[in-house]
Amino acid sequence: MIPPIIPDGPRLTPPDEGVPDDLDLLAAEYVLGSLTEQEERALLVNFPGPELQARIAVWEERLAPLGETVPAASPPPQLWQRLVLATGIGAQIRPTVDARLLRSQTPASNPAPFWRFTTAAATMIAAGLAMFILVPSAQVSEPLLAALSPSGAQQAAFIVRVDGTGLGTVFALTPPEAPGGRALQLWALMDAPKPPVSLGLLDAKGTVRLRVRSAAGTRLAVTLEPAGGSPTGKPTGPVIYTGSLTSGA
Amino acid sequence: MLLAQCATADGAAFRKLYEQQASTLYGVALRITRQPALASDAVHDALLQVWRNAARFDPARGSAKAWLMSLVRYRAMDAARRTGREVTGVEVDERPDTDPDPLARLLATREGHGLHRCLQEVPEDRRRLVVLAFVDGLTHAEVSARVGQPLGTVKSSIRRALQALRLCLTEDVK
Repeated sequence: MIPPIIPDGPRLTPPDEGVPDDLDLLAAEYVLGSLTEQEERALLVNFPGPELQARIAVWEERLAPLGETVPAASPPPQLWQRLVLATGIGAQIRPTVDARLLRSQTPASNPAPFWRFTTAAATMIAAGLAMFILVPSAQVSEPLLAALSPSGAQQAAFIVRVDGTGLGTVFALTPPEAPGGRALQLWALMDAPKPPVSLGLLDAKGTVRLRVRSAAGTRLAVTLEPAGGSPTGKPTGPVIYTGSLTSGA
Repeated sequence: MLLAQCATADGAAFRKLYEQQASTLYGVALRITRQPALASDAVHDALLQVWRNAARFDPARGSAKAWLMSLVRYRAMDAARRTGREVTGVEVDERPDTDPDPLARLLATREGHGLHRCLQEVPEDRRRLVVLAFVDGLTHAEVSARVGQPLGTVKSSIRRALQALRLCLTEDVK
């Protein structure tokens, strides 16, 4: 028997029951940054669909010019050096990069194992097995991995990889069975009493951009939900797979 | 289009994007986080995300500049809220902006013109709350504390300002 996750967690009140005007203003406040973390989470939980994301994108476009009113400041030179290392573009722009600096970096920052992983990922993408989610993580340093497996089982059904920038990729290893047209939904579990946050549906629908800000070490769960995902914004079905994001190094 | 070149892993295009945007983005991140290390991290993470995801950027959803600005702001605000702006040890130099009318800088860019005009239509007391929230990355409660107005007043003022902006900017588009 698979236990439900956080069976009786507190229900977040939907902001004004989703009146479109209100949703649009909440999107505006999200972009502005004036919502608290809790309000942001409630917004994302209650409106997991593309409607909110589209409104956020419109407000980003409207308000972004305000950034130009802030006095510019020269970033430290190390910022570009870090980016050269992280992107691996040193060879392309040799004149501006000191090769000795590149070599002096510790092996810990060598991304080789992840390149191999990425190659495997590319194969899976080509096979249409992968989907993408964005999980801007609180701590961004090294990639995190989670194997999502059935309770008590060794073999993972999904692998989740979250890179240093918070980009998450979910790979389906074994074809998951979602009976009767039901959906598999991925959740980030929050510390009680906060409810789980939906990260998206695990079907091959392509890119899903999410702005949930979850911390490293997040526990993940996949539940079986009605087609189209949980109607309440909270898990309603049984937990099928679980796993935790841990350092992949 | 620099972003399109970044999508093909063009390091020179990425360098150009950096040269064009980094000081603006760093200025924004520094204003929000008040700490050079956190500001650097915010710009680093946002640019790296752009580098890795340029191929998936959808121009129909908005401009690359707005996308980058948003990524940097979200990361800077996350960092600021995680570390607590008010209790940080390493404070950045407070260099007061001597420009008597910072909003006039909006006129420097094409996309800033409409916003500048529409902001002028919002009463000054509400306008400054919106600008304060955006520029300093403050929550309603933080704005309330900063300006010494009740939280409810701040919330409704910002909402009305946003409604007025939306109306004005929507008409602008038509």
